[in-house]
Amino acid sequence: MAYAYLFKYIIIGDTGVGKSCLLLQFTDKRFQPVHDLTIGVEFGARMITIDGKQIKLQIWDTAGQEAFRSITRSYYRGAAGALLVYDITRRETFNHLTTWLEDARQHSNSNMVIMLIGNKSDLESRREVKKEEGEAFAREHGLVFMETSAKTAANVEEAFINTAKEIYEKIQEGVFDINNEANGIKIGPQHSTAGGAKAGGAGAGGAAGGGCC
Amino acid sequence: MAFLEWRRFTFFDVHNNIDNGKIAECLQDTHVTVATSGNNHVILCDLTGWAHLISRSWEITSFKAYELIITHAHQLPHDTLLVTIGEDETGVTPLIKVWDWSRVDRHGNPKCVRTSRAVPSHMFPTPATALAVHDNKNLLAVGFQDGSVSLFRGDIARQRGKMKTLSDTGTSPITGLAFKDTDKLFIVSRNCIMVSYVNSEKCVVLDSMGAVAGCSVLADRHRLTVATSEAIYCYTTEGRGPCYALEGEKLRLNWFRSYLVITTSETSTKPSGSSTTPKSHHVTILDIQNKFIVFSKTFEEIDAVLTEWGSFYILTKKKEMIYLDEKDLQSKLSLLFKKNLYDVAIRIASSQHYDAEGLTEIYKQYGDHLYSKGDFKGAIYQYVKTIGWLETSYIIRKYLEPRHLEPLIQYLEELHKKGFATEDHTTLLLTCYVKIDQHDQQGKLKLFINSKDKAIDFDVDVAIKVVRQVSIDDALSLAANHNRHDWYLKMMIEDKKEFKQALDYIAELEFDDADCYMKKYGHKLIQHEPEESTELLKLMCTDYKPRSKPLVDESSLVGRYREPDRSTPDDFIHMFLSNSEKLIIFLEHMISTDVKCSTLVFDALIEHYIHVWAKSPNSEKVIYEQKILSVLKEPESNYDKDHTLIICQMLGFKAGILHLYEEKKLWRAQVSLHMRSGEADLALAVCRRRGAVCPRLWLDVLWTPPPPRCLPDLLHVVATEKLMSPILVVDCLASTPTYTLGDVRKYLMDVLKSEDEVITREQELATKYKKEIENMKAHIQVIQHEPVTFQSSRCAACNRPLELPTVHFLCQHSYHQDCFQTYSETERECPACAAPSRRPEALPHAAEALHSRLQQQHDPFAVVSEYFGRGLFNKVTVVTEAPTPSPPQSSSVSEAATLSYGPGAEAKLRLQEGQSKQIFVSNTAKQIPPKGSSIVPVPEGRMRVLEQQKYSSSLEAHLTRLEPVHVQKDRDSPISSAISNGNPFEEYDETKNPFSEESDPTNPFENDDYDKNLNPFAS
Repeated sequence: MAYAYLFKYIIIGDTGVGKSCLLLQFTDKRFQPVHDLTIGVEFGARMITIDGKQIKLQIWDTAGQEAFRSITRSYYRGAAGALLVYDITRRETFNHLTTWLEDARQHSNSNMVIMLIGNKSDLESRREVKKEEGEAFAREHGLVFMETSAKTAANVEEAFINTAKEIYEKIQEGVFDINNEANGIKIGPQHSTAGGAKAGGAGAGGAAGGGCC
Repeated sequence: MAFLEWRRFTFFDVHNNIDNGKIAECLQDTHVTVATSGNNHVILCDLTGWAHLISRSWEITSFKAYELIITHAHQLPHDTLLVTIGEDETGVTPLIKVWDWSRVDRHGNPKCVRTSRAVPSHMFPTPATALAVHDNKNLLAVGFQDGSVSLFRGDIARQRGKMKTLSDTGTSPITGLAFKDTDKLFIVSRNCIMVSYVNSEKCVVLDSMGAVAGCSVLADRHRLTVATSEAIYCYTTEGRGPCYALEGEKLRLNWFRSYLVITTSETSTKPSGSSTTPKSHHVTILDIQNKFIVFSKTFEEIDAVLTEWGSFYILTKKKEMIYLDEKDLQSKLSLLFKKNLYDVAIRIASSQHYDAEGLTEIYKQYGDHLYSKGDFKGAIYQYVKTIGWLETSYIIRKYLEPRHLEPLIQYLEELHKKGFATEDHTTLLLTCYVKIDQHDQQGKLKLFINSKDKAIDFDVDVAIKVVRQVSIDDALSLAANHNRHDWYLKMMIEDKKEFKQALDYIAELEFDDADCYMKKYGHKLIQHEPEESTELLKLMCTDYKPRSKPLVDESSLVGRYREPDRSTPDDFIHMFLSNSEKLIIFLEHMISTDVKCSTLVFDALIEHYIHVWAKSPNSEKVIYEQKILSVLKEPESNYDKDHTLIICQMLGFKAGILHLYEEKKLWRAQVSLHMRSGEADLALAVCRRRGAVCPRLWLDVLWTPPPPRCLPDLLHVVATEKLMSPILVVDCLASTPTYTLGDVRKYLMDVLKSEDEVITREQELATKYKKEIENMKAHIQVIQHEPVTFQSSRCAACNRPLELPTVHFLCQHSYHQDCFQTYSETERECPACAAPSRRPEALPHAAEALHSRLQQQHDPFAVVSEYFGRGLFNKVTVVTEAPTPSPPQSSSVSEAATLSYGPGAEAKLRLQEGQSKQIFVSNTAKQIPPKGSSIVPVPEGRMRVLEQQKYSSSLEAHLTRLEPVHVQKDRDSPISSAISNGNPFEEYDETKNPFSEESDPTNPFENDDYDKNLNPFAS
């Protein structure tokens, strides 16, 4: 399917915070109560529309287990956006955010848009992390914050789309070098010339990249 | 081994030593260096340069391929071509050989169709480390130790073509090559993974990590799967894809169908230093799609994993062939069921395209399992998937308890969405909604009802029925949403009793609907909302438009003529049953707008006018009377007169009755009405007006009886018109005690006087006739007994002197015989006398007259009865004297008699008849009840007069006839004589009778050779 841009995302966070469920909810619009552990890295994709442009989101769902950290780290590179997920019913997942953030910042490019997500907002009765805490953390680290529920699909779309919007804005501002695929952004095949013109020169690489896929 | 891994199953059965040791026997003590398979054969190559071609039945064909060793081999899957790389001499660049084992050379070995050096373009000898051949036989790639990759394009089975070394492939040894389509080549080296575009010779690095030999495979023909010690990564031509963490030192990767076969070296717990412990390898088979481990087992050291003949074969170092037999789906599933892994079963079944029915069964089992565990909501998710296959009652029964309402609702909603719901399901669903709403006020019912777009497909009628029992308002909105006007109105009227709203609703509808529902519910609406209903009806019967529509619609703007929708007022009249005033308003409106109203409209209008008239106080009666009469008199009014008359009579609307009598020419009824109401003057007025046409009116007045003051007038008419015999008049008058003689004196006097005159006249006539009779008798006497002298000297015909031979008649006429024969028609009659007495031929025979009348007149029965009344069909006994030939001497007497009965006699008779009319009537009216009187509305007396005229004409004819042959015995009765002559069957013309037995020469069928035996109706 033709797209104007392709954004690469990764979803990171402790095991069991609902990363795979978020992805499943976003791509398939369904919720699987019993989900197998993610072994390694999984993958999902969906088209969205921002500003009238088709944007393909390629999302890497990583395993949260510490044991897989070495594998998942290799996926940080080349991601334009990251969803850093914690579980509002488990305080320790919130506490680990700093580690995750460091990891992400270290292994990814500096412009990566990171969105902080407090998942399982449907389990209000078992909440351990207040929304304010999440907001404070996000403010402190310059992240965008949102509470979601993969089960009820609340805010799931918004989380992904808002991230995409942010990336899109950054592209418009020229923060991202869209011709460097390491940034996790690719210009779609049909859009390559226009995108190149907009980016102002350096369109050759983009055109070539478009041609080969 | 990773401590976290996918679920583990055993979907493969291990069969050891499947080849019965044949391979071991063949290979003996050499080692297999490379194994490949394809085209139904497995090829094993050993250290000594031998290649062994093994067929499915374990027949082994061996041939020496190289002098020293074979390092790589690739068997094309669909061809008999085998590509090998090996060495014939040490230290020399290896050789690529292509074998076609379907052909044999002169030694009986497979034919080598190509031999070329495997060397990169820089020509420094370096060992080949990887080989890839595309299935289309036109692409071949060889990877070398020094990192270069040579690509050969062209038919690999021919000598021509050139090797080309790709650029930018790095320097680390190439460990794997795989073609993706015809234009991309995956290159795996120790340090990196690349994709090379064959056409553009561009090489793109996909990842900066490599793999050892054998640990990369092209999965599903498009995904390169590479195993590292910690995980298995997937690559597409665009870059790295998902990865699966699986620790362990991988030795080999194989791909079979959707399974990834991983051979890892088992790290034994013992220190590996001891060489005595044999190495062991572990085989893990992954189902990538479903993410299971479908097989996992440790074997002895493995030389090769072969995928051929539809399954896996493992060749161990000891040259034992182990066969891994994949279980069939059913046993896989039962395995999963045993472990209650229904979700997995479903995944597997659907990935293997299990049929829907089978899947349903799994869903059902899963549902049952969850149900039994108490996870009702989870179970319903599974049950929902069985919709369309599984009997719904099975599930519904399980969830009938009140605490299961929500799952049940969910199930039923799904059922509706998928369109499998029946009426009962809808009912149940709605009932559930109702229950749950009562319980926690979720308003589900409202939500359901208001779903206008019919997110859930259901039978609206059933829904309305159910909801109606619970909440009328909801049912109403449901009906309104789905345009179930009938239900809406029904509920509005029957349940809510909001007649005004119902009316408004109808007014919004399209014409057809409005018409239909107004007919249905109009009665009730009129009962309760007479004003508005009437207005609406008026509208509907003139030019209806839904209230919501704009006054001027587009089509009329364009100029097209719109046929106005209008219903017939007839259909609505009955609704106004008890509301005459409104009906009148309605109908008046109808009549005023539409002239072509049906009879019913007028009838109803008149009827209700009269009803209102009857009920209204006297002061208003006049208004209505005028209205009624104006309608009645209006020539356009199309009402049923009889019907209206009955109504008028019932309710005593006299003006109407009179008008209608007048219209219907029922003057007698008019008269009797007047008489009943004692308005004799009016009655007489009618008589005067219509008496000429219907004299009977006078008699009616007479019989009523009228007040004395009217009598003189009345009696005068009766007397002058001779309407009734005086005896009867007297009889009639006598029955009324109030009359005095004075009232009738004049009449009686007049009558008596006229009677007296008649009597005198009759007597005169009688004497005269007697005298004539005497004369005739004398004449007869003369003729019979006395001689007659023929004295005439001239012929009565030619008036010349008589000459013999002559003919003489008693009438004193003499003829020449010649003349007589010329003139006379019969020998017996005197032509001179016979001629005037002959009846005019124009007069038809009585029988024929009867026939023609029967045909012409519209009421043949009346004709017949008239004849019958005259006694024509009575058996008449006619006594006649024997016809004696008249003696010639009596002719003079006969002539005298003729004279007295000449034309003068006829005139006299006519006179007498006129005078004797009344007497005749008075006599016969009582004696013979005329049968035809009821049919022919001619007053009796008149008829009699007419009859008499006929009789008299026939009498006259009889009397004036000369021929005295028939002598009536019963001479005093003129009727009988007439009958004797007028009996139609005496003079009946036999030739005109189609049924006559005599043969008729004109009958075209006479000589027909008709066979009576063929007549099916002949007995």
